[in-house]
Amino acid sequence: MVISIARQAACCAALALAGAATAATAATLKIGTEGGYPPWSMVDASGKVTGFDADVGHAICQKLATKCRFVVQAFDSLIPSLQADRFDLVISGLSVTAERAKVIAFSIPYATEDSAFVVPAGSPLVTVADQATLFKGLAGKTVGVQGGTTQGAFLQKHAPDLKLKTYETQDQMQMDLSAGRLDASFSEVTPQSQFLDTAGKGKFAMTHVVIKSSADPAVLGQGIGVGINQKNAPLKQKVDKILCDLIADGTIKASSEKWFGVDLSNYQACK
Amino acid sequence: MHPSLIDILGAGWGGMLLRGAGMTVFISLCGISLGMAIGVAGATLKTRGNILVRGSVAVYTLIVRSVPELLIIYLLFFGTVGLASGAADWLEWDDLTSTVFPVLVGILAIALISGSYSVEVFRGAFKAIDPGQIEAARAVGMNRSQCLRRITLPQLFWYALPGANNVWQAALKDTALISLVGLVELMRAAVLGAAATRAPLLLYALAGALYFIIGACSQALFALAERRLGPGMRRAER
Repeated sequence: MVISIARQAACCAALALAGAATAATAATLKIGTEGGYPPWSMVDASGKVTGFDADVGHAICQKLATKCRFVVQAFDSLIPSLQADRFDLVISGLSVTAERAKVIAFSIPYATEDSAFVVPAGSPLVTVADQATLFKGLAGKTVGVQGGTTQGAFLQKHAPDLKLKTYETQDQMQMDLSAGRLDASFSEVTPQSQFLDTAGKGKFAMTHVVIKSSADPAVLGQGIGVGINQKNAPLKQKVDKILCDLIADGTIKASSEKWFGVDLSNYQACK
Repeated sequence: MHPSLIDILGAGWGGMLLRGAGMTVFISLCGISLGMAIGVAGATLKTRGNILVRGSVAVYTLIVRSVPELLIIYLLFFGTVGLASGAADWLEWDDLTSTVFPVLVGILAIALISGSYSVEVFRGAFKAIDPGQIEAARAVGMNRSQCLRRITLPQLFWYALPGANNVWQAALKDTALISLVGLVELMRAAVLGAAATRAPLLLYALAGALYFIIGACSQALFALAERRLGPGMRRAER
């Protein structure tokens, strides 16, 4: 171990020299990410950052023609570290909220975490074509949501004739759904598909109707954005433009479908 | 459906955890070495220094021991991260903030924390040495440094061993808190693995086993040290 540390130190020193020689031509873009939030941001066994946000980060660096370096840190410490210039960007499934916008700048929301219902497989609601028909079909049924989430608020506002049952955690909600105590659950697509890949496999299905946050941004939030230091306005401009290009050319769509099985691209953001 | 132990080790997480364990041991060893130095120096100052020096040592131990370890790590990290970024830009050394800096913060934090507890450990050890021995050593013509090397230090470490053992075990576990500022040590490796493999129980159990092995090995070393230092000391005690 001591030897490998010494080697690492030697390596660092060598890199530093090499870095000093090339720094004038290409700076490294440092990206803070959580690394523990699959499939948005995770770390594989070799320490490499993967996931949807890693793809977004690499695509941004490619367009900027710089090298990328991911710094993995606990989610809580990402925003303070961004403020302290520890990295240039935070790409970590970060929801754009008014509270956060007070201390950091956000890019355009490149993705939106859509919400969807999970119902028993074979239910006619799975193939329903639009939101109004779906809500009509669910009227009077018991639907589970996680407490304090935007999804609960959305249903209260837009589908008041559902019976809402509120849960502390996603797991509890999904257990009750599995046990048949719920007719449906309503949550973000990511945890829903995770449930369908594991405990709910074969027994449940997601409705084809997906609720985009653009349906009611005031309630459902403005989507997922890249965090940027407020002092770094030129970088924000560049990142915004690149994200719009990536949405337009389908890069975000391809990556989203690879990691989530659905397209989370926010096509409204650049209009 | 859930990955088995073999799947997880096969995917390379065993290696990741071992590298993390190596980092944990490295940070603990560097931190505790510095901490022991702080302890001996602090204890000396606290017993021999004037009122101002004694007071400053007392303030240091009071503050560091009253504030949660996690807060000390955050204060150190966010207090110096701007400085480190500046230094990194100036040196044009990107690795400084991303790789080297969390390691330095980790070592410094462990040193400060273990140092504050060691001051008291070594102060107790100083007090345990019979002042008559020092007087006798001076009387037979030893100068101050001889007296320190032959009489004080060997006994100091003997008396400090049980307390230092506690400080070491605490320091070993405090390293887990440094994972929150981006250092991939054993705990962080387990958290990342738990998220990636969706098998938290297995990953945390593996990490627990590794912490246990490190702790048990260090206990064996402390037992050995007590036996090695023991015979001479028992003669001296008689």
